[in-house]
Amino acid sequence: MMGNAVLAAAANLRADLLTRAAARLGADPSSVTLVPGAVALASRGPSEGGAADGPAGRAARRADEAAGPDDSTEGAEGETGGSDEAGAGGLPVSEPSRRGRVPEDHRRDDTRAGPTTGPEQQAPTDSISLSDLVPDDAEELSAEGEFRNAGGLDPDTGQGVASSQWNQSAVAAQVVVDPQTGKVEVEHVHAAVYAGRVVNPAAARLQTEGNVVMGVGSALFEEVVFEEGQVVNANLSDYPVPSLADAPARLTVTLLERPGAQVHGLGETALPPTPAAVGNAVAAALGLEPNRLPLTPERILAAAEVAATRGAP
Amino acid sequence: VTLPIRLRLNGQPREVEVGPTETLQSVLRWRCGLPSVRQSCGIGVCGACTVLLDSAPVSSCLLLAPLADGRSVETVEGLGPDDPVVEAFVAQHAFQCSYCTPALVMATRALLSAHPDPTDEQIEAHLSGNLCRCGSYYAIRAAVRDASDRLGRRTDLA
Repeated sequence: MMGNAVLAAAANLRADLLTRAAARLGADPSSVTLVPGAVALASRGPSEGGAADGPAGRAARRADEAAGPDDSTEGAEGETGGSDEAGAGGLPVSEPSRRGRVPEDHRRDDTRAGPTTGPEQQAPTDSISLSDLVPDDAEELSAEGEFRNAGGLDPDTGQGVASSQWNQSAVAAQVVVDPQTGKVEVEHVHAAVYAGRVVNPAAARLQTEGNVVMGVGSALFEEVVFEEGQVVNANLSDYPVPSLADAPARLTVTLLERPGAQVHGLGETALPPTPAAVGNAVAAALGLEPNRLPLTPERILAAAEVAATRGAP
Repeated sequence: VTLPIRLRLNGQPREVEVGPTETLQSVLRWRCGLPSVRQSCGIGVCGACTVLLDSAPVSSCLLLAPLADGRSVETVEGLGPDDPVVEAFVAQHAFQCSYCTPALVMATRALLSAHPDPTDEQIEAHLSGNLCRCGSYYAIRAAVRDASDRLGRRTDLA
């Protein structure tokens, strides 16, 4: 399950950043914390909030349900990356379904929306910006994580996903949300797919790009609407699908291979984690969690209104 | 009831009997044997039925065939295998299932006649009406650029 690998990668990245920042600040690594765009002494960090079960969590569970035993000999290595302005790591995490919530430090801290998209945060003075932590020649931060399981069907119940080759992927998304209109722009998506051995790299890449485009559609606007048991938006006039103008401005793909691996299918491997990644990025940008897909402007504004009402004394 | 219309179809004169309420898409596909002219949404949203009418891209599912009388109609069947746009789409692998491809090739030809070296915004403006459910948009964009380069190198095509 790549979600675990993504969580591990995010934790590794976070630890690396904290260590580097602590050294620069002359502080103990345990006394610093990540805030939007920076690492600060822990006492100055913002309080963490957040609902337990947002769309990202739901989508993550869906990805998790789709996840299953590895073929045990094939790697489950994942990778995720993001710049210091990245929105959020997309994660088909298994944690939410088991524990009901993603640990806050993974959900909120590891990657953050840019300063213009998040809630107003006063930069603490005892802090160092993430861009100062990254070497000048580094275009991106990246980290790796790994997760392995026994694979196969559950020996007690005989249950599991009947997939001859388990398909693994991880997606990270960077978004900009307009707090006035609720409109979400997906600026950058990175998809990593475990592909075993890639036979046709161009087609594999193309298919993974298509996964992300379709996933962005279901994240942002695709929705079959029922009224009194009838589908009321049965044609493309009322059910928009992504056009060329809706594709993320930047899309990067990593096809993960392993020497000697089998040839894996790549049908829609990167599709399930894409709405989760977009949802997490939106949640991180707004500091709140819209609880329904697609993340239409109406729903984002409504979620913001609910959060504002709850926050009122 | 049918009535005869005359088209210049892929460069050749063609007379065909059409129903008064028949769409150009239906006539091209079913009466003229041009299977690239596909109907998907039937309401002018998806772009799969795009053909060139007097060199301008139109949704043939929305155009009544009698209105095309006396005009020039181009479909992908009229392009040779060495057509620069076709070559570019193949070279860039700009399709997966290829259902949208013939229409995208025609829309790209129209785009490149208006803007031989199009910007990203011009590509978006001209091709956002052609939906690709496989999401091959990045490769399609690359194919448009490639086609632009190929057309620039060719002097035999105006």
